[in-house]
Amino acid sequence: MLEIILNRIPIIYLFSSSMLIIPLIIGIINIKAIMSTPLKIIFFYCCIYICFESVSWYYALHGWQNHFVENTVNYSDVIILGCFYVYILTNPLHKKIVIGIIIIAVITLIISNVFGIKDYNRIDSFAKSFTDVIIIFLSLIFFYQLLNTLEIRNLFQYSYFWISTSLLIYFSGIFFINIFAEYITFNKDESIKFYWHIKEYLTIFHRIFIAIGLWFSTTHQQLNPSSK
Amino acid sequence: MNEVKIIILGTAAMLLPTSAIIIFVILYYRRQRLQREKLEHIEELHRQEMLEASVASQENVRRQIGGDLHDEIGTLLSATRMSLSQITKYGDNPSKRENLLNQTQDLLNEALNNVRRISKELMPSTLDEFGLIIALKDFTQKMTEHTGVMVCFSHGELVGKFDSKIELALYRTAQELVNNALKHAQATIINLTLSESNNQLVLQVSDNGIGFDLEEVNQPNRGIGIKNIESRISVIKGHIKFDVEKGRGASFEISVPL
Repeated sequence: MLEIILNRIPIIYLFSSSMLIIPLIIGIINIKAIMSTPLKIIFFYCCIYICFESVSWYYALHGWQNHFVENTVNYSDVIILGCFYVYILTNPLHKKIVIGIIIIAVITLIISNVFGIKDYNRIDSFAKSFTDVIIIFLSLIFFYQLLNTLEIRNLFQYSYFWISTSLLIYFSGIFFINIFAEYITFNKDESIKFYWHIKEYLTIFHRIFIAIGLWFSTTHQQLNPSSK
Repeated sequence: MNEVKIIILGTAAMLLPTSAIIIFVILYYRRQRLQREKLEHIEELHRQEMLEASVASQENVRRQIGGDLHDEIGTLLSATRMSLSQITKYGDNPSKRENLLNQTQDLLNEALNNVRRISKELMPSTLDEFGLIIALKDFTQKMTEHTGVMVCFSHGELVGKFDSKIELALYRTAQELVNNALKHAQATIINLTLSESNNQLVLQVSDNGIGFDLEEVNQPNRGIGIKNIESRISVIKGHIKFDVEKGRGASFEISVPL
């Protein structure tokens, strides 16, 4: 089995998957500090991802199609990350908008899966791109809120800033890869490999940033005097 | 579109969010700095206003003491001097002398009473000897007796004395607020409550008067009463909350860390 893994699978894939352990370990170390619901949600998100990755690897190593995992991940991304933003956004109108977006996104994903691809074991690229756009939009709402309130004195010690940065960079990166992959498919395989490698690097950064976010869950957030 | 162009475009597109985050951080800290500067400016203005109010209040007190000394003590002492000079004139008339001596004694007693009253106003002896609770009780009783307005005081389970600076500041604040309620608000009931919660001494003053517009009162050309209270409270690191509006009674809550 190990021989198959090392011979057939690029090391970067293994590495990016194993990076999920970092936020998980930090989450377990800081488990007592992760008292706020949003951080609990992010920790849960990491745990769910471990399950997805395990199933995905298991299927891949047995030579079975694992695309259904990718399609399922879309639902978890929209619902879990959507709930995270519902909790961290303070403006009631923004909260309502996010709840509405989650409901619409889930319905759209179901419609796309049922009527679009029909076969759940095929990658639904529309659903994937749609999910990416939703998460990008949610993170942008959060950044807008941050810039408007200027509540946090030190952004670099603020958990939600790291987590939102991670989500914005990762999902926009994936979104552009998906878009450009459409063009590249008709060209060289090398280019596809190049973009898939970038995707793996993005995944590594995504997990490291989430780990940093969970790490700062123990740091007391200093608020600006005007916001007290 | 050729391959190289797509790769360049794709990479640029992926770098876009990273650049956006960097720009966001720069913008955030810039706005934060501007906001801090603005806040510091407001605080500086406020400090200056407090200082001006404090100086003006001291000047008022000096003017009042000067007026009291001149009008009351000065007049009485002049009368005493004249009375004494009359005594020397009527040295051979014992009944007239006796009469003048009694008159002089009365004048001196009155002067002495006035000196006591002025010194009591400057530093109430009850506050010094028995503490804030007794002093406020005494003050509210006297106000009720002299003005006919019901000035009530309650203090829950509080006992003993507090830091003298806190006691004096709260006593003066209570005096100022009660005087304001009597002079400007046409109140008929004034309630004072002293309590302690979360290691804070809280004084609440409320009345059933006609209220006032806080913004109007805070205008630079208006009285210094409210600013003076704020200045007093800020010295002892306390906070004051105003619940005021024109047309209804006013309520103030002063909390001071113990």
